Amino acid sequence: MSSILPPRTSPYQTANIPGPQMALSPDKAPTVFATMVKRAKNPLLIVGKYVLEFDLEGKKLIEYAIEISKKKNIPIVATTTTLKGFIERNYPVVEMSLVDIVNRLQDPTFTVTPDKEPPHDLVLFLGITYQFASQGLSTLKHFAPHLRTITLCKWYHPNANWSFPNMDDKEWKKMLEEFIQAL
Amino acid sequence: MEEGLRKGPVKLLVKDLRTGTIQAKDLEVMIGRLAMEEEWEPQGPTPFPGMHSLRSWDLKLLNRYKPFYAPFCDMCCLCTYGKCDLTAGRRGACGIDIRAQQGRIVLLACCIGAATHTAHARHLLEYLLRKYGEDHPIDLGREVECLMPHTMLVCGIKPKTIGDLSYILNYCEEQVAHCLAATHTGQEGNALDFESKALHVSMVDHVAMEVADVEQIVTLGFPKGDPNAPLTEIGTGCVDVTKPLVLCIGHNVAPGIEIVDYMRKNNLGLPGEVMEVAGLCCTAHDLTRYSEQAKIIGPMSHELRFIRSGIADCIVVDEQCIRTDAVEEAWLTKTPVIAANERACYGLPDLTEEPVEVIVNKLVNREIKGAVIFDPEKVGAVATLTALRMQPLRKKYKTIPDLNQIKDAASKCTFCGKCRRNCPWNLPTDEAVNAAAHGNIEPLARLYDYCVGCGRCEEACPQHIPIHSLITAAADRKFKTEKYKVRVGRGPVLDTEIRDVGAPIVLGEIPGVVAYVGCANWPSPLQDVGRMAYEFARRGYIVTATGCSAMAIAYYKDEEGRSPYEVFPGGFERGGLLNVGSCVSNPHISDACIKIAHIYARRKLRGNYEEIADYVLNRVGACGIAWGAMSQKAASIATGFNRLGVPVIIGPQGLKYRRLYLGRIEDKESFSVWDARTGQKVFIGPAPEHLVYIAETVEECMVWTAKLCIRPNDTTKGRMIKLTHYVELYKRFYGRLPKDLPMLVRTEADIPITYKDEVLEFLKAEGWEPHPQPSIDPTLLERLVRVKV
Repeated sequence: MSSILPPRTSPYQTANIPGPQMALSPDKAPTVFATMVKRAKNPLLIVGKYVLEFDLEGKKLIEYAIEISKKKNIPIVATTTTLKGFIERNYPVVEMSLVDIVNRLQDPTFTVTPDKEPPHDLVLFLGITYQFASQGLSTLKHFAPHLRTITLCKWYHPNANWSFPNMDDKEWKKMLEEFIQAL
Repeated sequence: MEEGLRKGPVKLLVKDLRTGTIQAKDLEVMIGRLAMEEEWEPQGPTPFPGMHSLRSWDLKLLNRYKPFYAPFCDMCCLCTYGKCDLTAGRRGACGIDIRAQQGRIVLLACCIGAATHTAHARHLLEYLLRKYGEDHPIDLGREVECLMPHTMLVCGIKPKTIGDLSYILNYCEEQVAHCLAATHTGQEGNALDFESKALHVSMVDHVAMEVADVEQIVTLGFPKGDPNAPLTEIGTGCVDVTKPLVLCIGHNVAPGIEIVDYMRKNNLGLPGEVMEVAGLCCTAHDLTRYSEQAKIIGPMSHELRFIRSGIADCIVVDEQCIRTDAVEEAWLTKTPVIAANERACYGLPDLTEEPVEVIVNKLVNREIKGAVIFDPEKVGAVATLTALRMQPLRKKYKTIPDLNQIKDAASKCTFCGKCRRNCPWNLPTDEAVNAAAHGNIEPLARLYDYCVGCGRCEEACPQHIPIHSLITAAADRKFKTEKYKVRVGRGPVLDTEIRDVGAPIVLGEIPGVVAYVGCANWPSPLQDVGRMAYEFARRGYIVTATGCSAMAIAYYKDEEGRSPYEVFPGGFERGGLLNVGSCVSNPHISDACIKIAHIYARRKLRGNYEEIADYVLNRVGACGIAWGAMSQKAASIATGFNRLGVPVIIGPQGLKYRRLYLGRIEDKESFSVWDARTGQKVFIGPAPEHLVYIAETVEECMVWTAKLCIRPNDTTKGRMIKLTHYVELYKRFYGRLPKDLPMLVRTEADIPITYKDEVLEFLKAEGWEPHPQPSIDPTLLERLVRVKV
């Protein structure tokens, strides 16, 4: 990652400026986001291919996903082929592609957790290809008024409701750990 | 009137006319062209359909596969009321909401795609009519009697000569205009109706593409469905750099043809003898269909690097997918550019009327950067002579640095990361340039196959480091030597081939027809397209390909170093791998689906679109993969396949098209069809589950390719074969059995033999019961039900 970071809350990918409504990225994002998760009635964590590829000082991103999930009993939707990583770790997840889960999340009667009342009211994104995640977040911004989105990646995602800022891996690791600690 | 379409306008000659108010002699009245058609088949319900004619079919499709929208922009900027913010339910000044706006933009993209192919077909037809005359017959050989299935299906007529094709294009042009008009402010306002129009204009696009390819096949001597079309060379290293080179970029082959002809007529031999003729993007495919000695430099992603290499001595651009800065880039390597098409003039002076020698002198003396020449024959002469004279003058000009210059150029890097942020694929260009600054060029070289060649990294660099050129320089050896084998585009699928494979495809015993189509904005190394094609051909699927994807397949090498085209036969057969041709050859793939319905199942073709599309959706296990889709043409090509009932998978960048067609299998009603034999409604499971789907990774794409070839009509043997591939791939990439097996296994006989015990145990745990009606005659059209209940 570059030593000079882009402005922290400008869209990570240049020109990905969707419109007047862009994500909020508070100073103390880890604790703010943790509070939002604790208040949510039916949160959901969606993970993408980078959870198997990214490594933060020896710890795979998938391990962070599992820790987040365990801490607050948040179901994980494993998109693309990430299911394999969870099977290897013997951790239960729902397998569904990103477009399939986002498509269903537009429906306020849908939930992946039969024991909880729909809808999912808070959706966390982690480790999804930037532009793919950005478009999925756009769908939810426009067509799922019953939920809020938070991105936990190291990139500022304007289409989310709430996003971590642009940052390097070191800070990202720190933020993820603070977030998990605060849950 | 005699057989076929009447040519030209009807003329009435009146020698002496006397009425109460008129007196005239030798009065000649022309009243346009009349469609008079022999009765080769009873006319179907929708010949020459208008925008509304097939709306009910569209709504059936869209009821199951509902538009899924992912807005790429929250605003509308199309009129002076705006910009209007349409975020989350807000309406614009004209009343439009974000959902309809997405449908509108999709329609606009499809109109652009269809207009581009239609204009291409028209331009090429005018050239061919001048050369061959309007009575030149449409003859695709003895094994293709079903000549132009899309035209016959949509328009309800059977063209006999290339003069007849003008009439078909009149229809296409009219429909494109109507559909484009629907996007104007204050016209259409409903998302589903926008989608119906997008489906319509994309169907028209397939007709226009069919015209474009058939007219060039029948006149220029291209292969007519030859499964043994020759192998030719592809790659930046395939040209002899000691010889003069004319490089043709684009899609319209007319100027390239004239270059080859000029060389023949002027004792310059075939391409490769005295001088080289090569192409980039689809015009390269068509050049090799004309002369297999011509070379293919590569897909669009190789355009910038090749221009900068300075290897070309003259560049001819025609139309579509040309870098719009090609003239400026070429000027830096002292390469003159000839613009041969009115749709892409690049500000160059029009020298069409100037003598050849005058134009050549101006180009060689660098008085001008290039010239517009609208006469293809003159382009042939000017390009050839210019390349011959330029070659000795500009041998050493290139803008790609030498290996020893990389470090100096990279040392300006401040590691700001802007290049990476501007890269469509977030490639680690910043790290690679930084490493190069410290003497390690390996990371740069590794980006060579991942880079899509857009040059956005350079645009973002505040230090003006030529990052794309550095990547090419770091991979210098590969750039100069890479050479692969690709089969020349063969054109249509033969009727005889359809007779051989129609039954096994419809019954499911050939597990599917897979089509790799579209552009070069690949999310992974371009070899991945070949990796997928190889995997499915090896599994016995029929694999077809066109355009940049057909090129990319050649870049994959198996363990023995062979290209997939060297491994698999070129026939439309089990395990065949067909390069069908250029972008405009895509309808030969959709035509194959139509011909299965017509030739194998004997369904009526003429003006009978809805019934044929219903047949294809329910019976023909075909799936398109546009892994690197980028253009508006790719949008209309894919959407045209969709209307015919063929699902398409796109790479993750495809979500920027803003719209998918996704099913929700839990909505059982939408996945129910009529059983035409009994009149009962039957749940068919996810067969197919989606009509346009996005895969994030190659592995996911492969799994979904196998899944989207499943159809309700599969026999138990066919379903068992298809599920074998689906389960194998799913287990390999996901690590367990697919969870939707209970919906896909209708009876125990459907279960793959190799997984019998494991699947049975899984089904038992899921509470699976055999489906009550595993064998049906599926249709979405109630009118086709033979027994009413």
